[in-house]
Amino acid sequence: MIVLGIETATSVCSVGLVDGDRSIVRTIREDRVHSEKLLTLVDEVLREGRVVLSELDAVAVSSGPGSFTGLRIGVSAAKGLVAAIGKPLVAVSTLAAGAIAARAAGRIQAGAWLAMDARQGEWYAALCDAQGVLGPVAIMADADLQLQCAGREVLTDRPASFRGAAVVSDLLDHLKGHVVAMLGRDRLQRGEHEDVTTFEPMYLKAFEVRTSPARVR
Amino acid sequence: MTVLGIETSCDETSAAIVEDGVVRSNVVAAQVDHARFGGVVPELASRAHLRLIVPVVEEAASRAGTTLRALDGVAAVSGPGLIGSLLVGLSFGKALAFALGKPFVGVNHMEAHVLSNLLEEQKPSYPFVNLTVSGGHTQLILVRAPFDYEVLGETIDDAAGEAFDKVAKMLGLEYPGGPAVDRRAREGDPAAVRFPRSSFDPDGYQFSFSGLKTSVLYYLRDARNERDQMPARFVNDVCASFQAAVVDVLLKKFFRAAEIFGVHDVAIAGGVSANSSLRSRAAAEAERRGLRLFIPRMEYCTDNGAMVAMTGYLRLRDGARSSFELSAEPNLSISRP
Repeated sequence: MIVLGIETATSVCSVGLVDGDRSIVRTIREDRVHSEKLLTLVDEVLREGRVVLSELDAVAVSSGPGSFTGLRIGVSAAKGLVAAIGKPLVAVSTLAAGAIAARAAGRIQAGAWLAMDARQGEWYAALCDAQGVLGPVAIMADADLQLQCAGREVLTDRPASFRGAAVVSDLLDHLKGHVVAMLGRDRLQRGEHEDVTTFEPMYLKAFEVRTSPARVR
Repeated sequence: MTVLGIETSCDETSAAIVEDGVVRSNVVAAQVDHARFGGVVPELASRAHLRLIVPVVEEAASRAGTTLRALDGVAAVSGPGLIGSLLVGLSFGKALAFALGKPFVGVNHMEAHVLSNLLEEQKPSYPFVNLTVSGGHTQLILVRAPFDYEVLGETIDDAAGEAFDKVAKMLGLEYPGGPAVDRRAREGDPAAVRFPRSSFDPDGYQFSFSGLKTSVLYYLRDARNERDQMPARFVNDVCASFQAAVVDVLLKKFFRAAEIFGVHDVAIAGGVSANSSLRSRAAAEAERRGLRLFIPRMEYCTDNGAMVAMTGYLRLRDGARSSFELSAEPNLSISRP
């Protein structure tokens, strides 16, 4: 099975491919380049893997939580790709993919917290259980999460924010397109995929109502 | 040559197919949720685009009796507009073209409005003067030749449609304000209140509507008694008088530009061209001056995929190609080479 994976939920823009035992990944870590670079990375990964799009069995996309803009770019592009090739779209939790990549790299163990900045003093947070499986993602206030993380292991996109933790690792080092592709392949093999017509990323937060400055002054 | 056009610059998710310059389909999914906020909510609009993009594009292909694989090219708006909204249509359109192995071209939303005049059987001849008036834009353009635009003037504050929305809000009318004000203005007296015609840039083509909006606000504050005594007639008269002031300002510069640049054809595009007074007065004045006036049908005036597909078709036929690294630009200008 050949699956392409797209990861744009944060300042990391990464595209990967899994094909049997082999995997390929291309990653750029820079703000606001995702819209420009995403298809270039897709092209590079496909060329290096000597794979053409029609050979893909699915496109997997990191579905959040994360930056609304980043998620929109990744999901819009993933929808465009599958609309063209007629293959399934598979969504993968961004934090679950980060946790698996970090565990494989020996960076976190069971009982670690994953935390992604949700702005306004809040975090998207989830806990790895004793088997190392990531639990449900919740929105937590900073003070509450800091208490939970004291003396624990934390994988976060804001390492400087967790001074009380025992070990802090950078989540962004572990967000990779090929891990998204791998987890997507797992879901596909279980017969799971998304309805491309209705699929939306995991925003977690309701939108904030502010009228457009272009319309109301 | 069959081209798909995708428009997601504001709150309409739209896709259309143009085949050799002829519209085969034009699907528009208007996002109705914004009315309860009295304006477009960018995050809400972006999320709706992402939900609607696949069904709207597939419907456009199916109504045109074609498939995505049969396309010869894909066009999507890259600006100007709301960044989050633009990114959905642009990212989708680029990925679709990339995966189909077909050329892609990014389209300027303002150019698409101008070229909406080419969607009808009767088309203006070059050179022509075009006025694009909508909720987000007020732009007077000299179209010298294909793809050769000179922006003569723009609004320095509110767009014309925006002024309608705000006055409607002051009067407690529905959103969007354009149709609401127009409907009441038909029953009112346009000479009831003499609102100021902006003397801003008297010899040029810049527009300003914020002063007019403020004078409506002051008038409503000072005329509270009349308002209480005759609410319906009062509202109708304010609507008619305000609308007359907007139309006066728009048409004065529009027809002066036509005279100075010596064009025979003039065109109006954008959602505000639905305004009944703007239409009838522009038609009368054009006839008096011996000019041909073009206003596309309503579905091509409001934001739509057909104008994007047409612009994409013309650009692609002309050899234009955009890189797959093209990104969205909220302030993209039409006159950039």
